[in-house]
Amino acid sequence: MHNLAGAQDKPQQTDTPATTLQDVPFSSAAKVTIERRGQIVVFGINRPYIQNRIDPETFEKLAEAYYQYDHDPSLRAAILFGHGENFSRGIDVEGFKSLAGTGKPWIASTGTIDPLAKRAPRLTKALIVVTHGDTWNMAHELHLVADIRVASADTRFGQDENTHGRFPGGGSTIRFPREVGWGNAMRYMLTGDHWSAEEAYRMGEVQQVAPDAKEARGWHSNREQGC
Amino acid sequence: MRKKREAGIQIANKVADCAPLGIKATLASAHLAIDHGEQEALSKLDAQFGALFHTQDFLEGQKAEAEGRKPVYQGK
Repeated sequence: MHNLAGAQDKPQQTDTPATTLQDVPFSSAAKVTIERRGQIVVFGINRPYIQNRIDPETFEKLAEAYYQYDHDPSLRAAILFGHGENFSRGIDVEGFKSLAGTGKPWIASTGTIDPLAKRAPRLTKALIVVTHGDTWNMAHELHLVADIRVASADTRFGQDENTHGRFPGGGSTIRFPREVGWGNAMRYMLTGDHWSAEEAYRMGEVQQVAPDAKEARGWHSNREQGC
Repeated sequence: MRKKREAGIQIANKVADCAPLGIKATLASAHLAIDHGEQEALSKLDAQFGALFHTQDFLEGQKAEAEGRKPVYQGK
């Protein structure tokens, strides 16, 4: 009675100070945009000239943004989306070339939360991912980390590393079967076939399909006051 | 009946065209999550990925992509 459930086992919260997440306005130099909208924050992957592929700096920025969101008491929900034509085609292979071979960690050990949630600390607040266009490989794995997923009807998903002599190393081998069932996940991971938003909805990995990217995001209208 | 058989063969052929070590790593990781929990499986991913990085098939995958042809994997 004297203690709320779980109040004693929150190791990551005890000695970390609260933060205030700062906006990063849209510009060609901002690889990740950050826009606060009341109690919500919106993260935008912004490298449309390379199909929003994730390079080490983009990954680090995302990791820092997740951490600051998690430790900012004024924020209650976060949305991740992609600027431009696609959510993201996944890893920037060239950009990661020097880092991937070394075995060095991809992100700083403090002040970050792994966007692929491979190791602690994890987000303790809600993450919603909204996809559109190409959503491939590492991008599909960022999407699987979300608590709730919304897809534009034009989303094209892919987890096709096995066709390239690699394998899905960003969490899909674990989270994809968990979310859609073993057979559905293996149907795509073991063949490299791509799939649609409609198929993602059938399998259960997407909770809602919207007619287009704007509808999927929902912030072209003035409906932020709900709930 | 024939259609059904073809669907099975088609999928099997796509799996067979992939690099065998990657297919094995995918299945091993997914099984690990069920047998020993997600955290255990997640913690092994980097090492599994790193091991594939140094295979002949990984190089073949990159080479084939650069040359715009279908890769031929040996399972090595």
